[in-house]
Amino acid sequence: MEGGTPSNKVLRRATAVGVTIVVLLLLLCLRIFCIQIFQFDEYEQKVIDQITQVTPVAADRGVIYDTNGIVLATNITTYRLFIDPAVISQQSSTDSKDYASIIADGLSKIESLNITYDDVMKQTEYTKYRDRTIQKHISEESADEVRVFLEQAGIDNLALVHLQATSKRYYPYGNLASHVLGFTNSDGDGIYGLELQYNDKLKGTDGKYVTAKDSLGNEMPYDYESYIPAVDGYNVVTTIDVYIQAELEEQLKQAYLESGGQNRACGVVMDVNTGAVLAMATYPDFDLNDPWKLNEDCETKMAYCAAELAHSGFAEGTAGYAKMTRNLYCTIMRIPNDEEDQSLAKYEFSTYEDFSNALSQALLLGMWNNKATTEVYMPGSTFKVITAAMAYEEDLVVESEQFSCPGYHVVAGQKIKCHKISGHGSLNFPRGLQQSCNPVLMMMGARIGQDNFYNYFNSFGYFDKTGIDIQGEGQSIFWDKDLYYSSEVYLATASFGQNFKISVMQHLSAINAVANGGELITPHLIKEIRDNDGHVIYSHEVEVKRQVIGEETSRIVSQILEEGVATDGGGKNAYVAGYRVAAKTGTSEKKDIDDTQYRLDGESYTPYVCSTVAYAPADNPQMSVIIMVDEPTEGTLYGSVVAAPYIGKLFEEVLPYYGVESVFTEDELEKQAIQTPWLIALELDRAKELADMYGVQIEIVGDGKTVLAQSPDPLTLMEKGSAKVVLYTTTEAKNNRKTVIVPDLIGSTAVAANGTLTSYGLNIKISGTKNYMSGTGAVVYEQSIPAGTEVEIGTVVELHFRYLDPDD
Amino acid sequence: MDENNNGKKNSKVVFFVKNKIGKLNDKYEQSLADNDPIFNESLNKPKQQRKTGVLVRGGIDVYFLIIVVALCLFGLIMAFSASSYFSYKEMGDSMYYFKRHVAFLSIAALFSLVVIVFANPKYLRVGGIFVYLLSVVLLIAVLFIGMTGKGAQRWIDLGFITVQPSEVAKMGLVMMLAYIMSKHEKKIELEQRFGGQFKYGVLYPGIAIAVICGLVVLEKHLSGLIIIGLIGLFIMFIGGTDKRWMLLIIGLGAVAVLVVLMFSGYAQERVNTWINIEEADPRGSAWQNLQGLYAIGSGGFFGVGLGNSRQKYGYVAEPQNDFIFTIVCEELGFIGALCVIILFILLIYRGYKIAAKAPDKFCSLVVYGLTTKTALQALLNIAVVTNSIPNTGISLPFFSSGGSALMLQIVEMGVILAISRYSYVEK
Repeated sequence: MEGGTPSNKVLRRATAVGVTIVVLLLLLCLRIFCIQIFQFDEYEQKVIDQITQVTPVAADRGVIYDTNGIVLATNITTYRLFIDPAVISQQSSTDSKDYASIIADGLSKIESLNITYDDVMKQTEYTKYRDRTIQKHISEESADEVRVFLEQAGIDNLALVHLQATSKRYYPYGNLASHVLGFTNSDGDGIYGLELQYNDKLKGTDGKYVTAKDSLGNEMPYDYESYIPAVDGYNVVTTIDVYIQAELEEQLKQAYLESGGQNRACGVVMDVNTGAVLAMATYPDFDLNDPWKLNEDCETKMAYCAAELAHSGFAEGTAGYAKMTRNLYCTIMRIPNDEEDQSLAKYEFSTYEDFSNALSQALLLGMWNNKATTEVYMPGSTFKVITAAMAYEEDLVVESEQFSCPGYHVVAGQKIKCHKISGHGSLNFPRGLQQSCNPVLMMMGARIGQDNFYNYFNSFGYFDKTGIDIQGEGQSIFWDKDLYYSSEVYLATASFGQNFKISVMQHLSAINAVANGGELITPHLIKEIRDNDGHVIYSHEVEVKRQVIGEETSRIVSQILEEGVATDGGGKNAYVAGYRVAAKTGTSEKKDIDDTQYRLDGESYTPYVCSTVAYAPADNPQMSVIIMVDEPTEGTLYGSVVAAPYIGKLFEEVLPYYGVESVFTEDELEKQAIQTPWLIALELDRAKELADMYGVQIEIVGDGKTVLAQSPDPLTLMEKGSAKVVLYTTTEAKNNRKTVIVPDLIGSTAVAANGTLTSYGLNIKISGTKNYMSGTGAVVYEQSIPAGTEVEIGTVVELHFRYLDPDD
Repeated sequence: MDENNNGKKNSKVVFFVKNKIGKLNDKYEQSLADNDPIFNESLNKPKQQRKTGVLVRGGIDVYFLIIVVALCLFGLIMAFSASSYFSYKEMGDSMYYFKRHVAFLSIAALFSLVVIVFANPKYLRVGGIFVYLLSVVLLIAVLFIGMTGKGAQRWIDLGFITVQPSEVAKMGLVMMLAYIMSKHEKKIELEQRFGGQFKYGVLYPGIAIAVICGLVVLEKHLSGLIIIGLIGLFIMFIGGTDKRWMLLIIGLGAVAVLVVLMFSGYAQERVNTWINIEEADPRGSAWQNLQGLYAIGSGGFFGVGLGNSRQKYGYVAEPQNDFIFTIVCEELGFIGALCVIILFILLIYRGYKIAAKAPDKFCSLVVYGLTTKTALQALLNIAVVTNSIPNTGISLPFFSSGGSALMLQIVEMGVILAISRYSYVEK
């Protein structure tokens, strides 16, 4: 307008617009530059993230073996069966077929799946979902059945029903060594026991398969593919021996149940010279294949609580109910229930659901807890072995020296009792140890002195954790050093194992040092770690921490203990014919809780810990055992009765297996059972001759010339002496054998039992401790044929003897 | 022309059309005498040289042709790369969209050749009015027989090709406005405010714009409306409409935009997504834009290589259409993006040069209009895919797949090239 020509105006205006557009385009250029250069990393990452699909390739967890290569923990493939309700409903309407009911019908007919038609139909109703689980953890066989069904129904290509393979940890022996092996969580990480301890080794490294996918999830024809193979976990070979473990668990169970134990029992079997743990168990155990399920013991406690709450009449939500739940919780979990203690208010629950959830959680934790390593207890008289070892090592014992036990000993003005109130009278030190005389040990303790005792206690490893390769080792409890030195009383009580707490593992480790010539060896559960090709990656070497005592001391103490077992010492119930067992029993009062405790059935009891440590053979120790029962409530509450007999039984089974040769003394050979000679089909004269040779009497029934039958059968084991074989010489006599009713022998002494059986015409076989002839205390504890059974004359009745006198 | 027996009715129509065109021709001859600059001056002639001259037909503008051919080939290659996966997924043939692209390009090129060889400014005026009227007919027709797609009725299906009437309308409007503005060139300059400036500078072109815009609004074609409106304003502006009227119209337009933003939930959502792209639902409204940004961003400086786009695998939705530029950025990086933008800038430069040399004002305005239309589309498309403005469906000329739009684009270039052949030579 400004005087320009129209043409110029067009040019001017157009140029203005054109320049504007060009400038804007250049600005966009700048923006693109910013996006591509400065935000490149961010966007590149986002693109990579959205186009790559990482499929994890799970590594196989390593296998856990026992020392002989028997599988203790392995993996099995299980399947998760799930349906795709969205596709089912879609496909049903496309094909106008009722796929839902076809599937429900087919799956419910597979019995191993254990599902009903309605279960499946219910899941098919979730038509907005694409993944509804029908059954978890189904086996390969069941999965095959599902596949067969899908194929037969002609729907195997429709993607309506899916099977997803997952690897599951499997423990072939179920409950065996449950506390040692531990278990894994759903992610496949070990969370307890060896599974946790060696998780790094067992786990392996997961691989992955990276593929590129388009927005619909289809694979993209692209070179983003990469495959990183999984590295399977290493296999772990433990020192555990399945056979010994099973035997220990069996003995623990018997010991616990027969003594009415209230607070679990535990035991450990070790190789004395290498520190290898051959067996370690806690009873009650649990099922490793379903570790989140409470065991029977815990279920009983839950049921008890439920019944108590129901019985109490309190309604949920009331103050009374809350108080009740608190009481029950504290009782079950053994928490001192102080009314004033506000911190216990967290155990008050208003509903049963909350209460049972909390309680079952707590019970689970308790159930998984490995008592042998995590808990500490007062070792009681079993500790006297250590005190004795100190005394001999320090050369403080004169064999001929006589001590006097009036039933108590006065230390620093305090009268400390012996377990035998009447006193042991006059005795030397070895006998004092065998008889577990507290005053003798206290006097010896005083000679050892506070310093020495403290130092030995330390060098036996009681202050430190043993270093065993399993998680959660308990810390021992001893007096504070200043307190310990403040009074002689502490040393006196410590000398017989009272008022300090150590773990079973620590104790057995120290006992091993006494047994093996003085070496304190780190206990271990690992033997080897191997890769998948069988190459040994790691092999455990015996780790000697230090020499604690000399070999001579070791030899003397072992000999004293063995003598005690073989004669009338406290450990005599651990006697095994043919093996020289060194054992020391112990019974400790639980001074840190109330004197009066109550069982769930309402009966009161005094809480004791009864235990026994033993090793064999005494002259060349190979294997050591400790068995501890926490709070037994039935029968004689002494370690000699509650624990020692089971160690005897264990040794009897396990020592020959372990390759320890039996060496019988003459006396033992004399007492050894004999096999009944084979007399059938012999002429009577010849039979008589043979019977004489074997030293058995015969009774002839019938008037034939040839033996047609005999009782007991040939080759049956029985004791000689009064042994008598009945021979039938006529067919008539053979078919009408004489019978007799088995008498009740429980509680009778060996002599009496033998007499009774002989008078009944029955034969005797003795198991358990066999030096019954010299002792008087042993009585029949078990008989193989129950009283009242009608048996034929000559039958062998096996009797199990046990000393029931209260020996500590 | 039509000698069929049953062609009585037909021959009537033919006659009518002939007659109409004849009349238009007469009018054109008349206007030449009145105010056509061909008899006066070329736009860029210095004053002293403004003498009578002769309209000469020479060679086409080779630079412009090279730029157009370069854009076409670049676009073709990228269309193939970007569409291959989508083609395969949708049509089972990875070449499907590419083949169509080639076919449309070829047909349009042939047609353009005819235009270049035969069209002279006279025919273009007639043709322009015809295209404008045709677009009005098509815009009305689409309301009744249009294909429904993506919630709007914008396409007419002719079997082998779908025609988007609004694309035709863009070309038609440019030519119609050029005709109006050049015809009344003198009157627009009049001091008389309403009889002159307003009537010829605002009202006449305004009606031409309003008819098209009104019909496009009925189609609910927002992006089309924006382009058409801007092109219309642009030609009015360079055609000589008074500044004050322009400001008033732009002001009214701005108010209208604000009103739309205030009352249209759809528009608000678009704007929201644009502003809060990072917070927006990546699977929902922001999907397309975000994926586009991912594609651009992940290209870096040199790109991931031709054919190596990862985002075309279903992430950038329909990558051969509006978002094809993002695939260019991803595969060829900043370098590739820069090439595209430079080509468009060169196109503007050369197009404006042709316009400035054009033999008359009509031709000049047509070339300005068509060049600017192309540039504006490119500008808005790139602004959209870089999330510089709210998302609205604007295709990238020469690159985006799409039958009628691509063909018209080529034909428009043909028109420019045709005009480039004519110049006023002093004799």
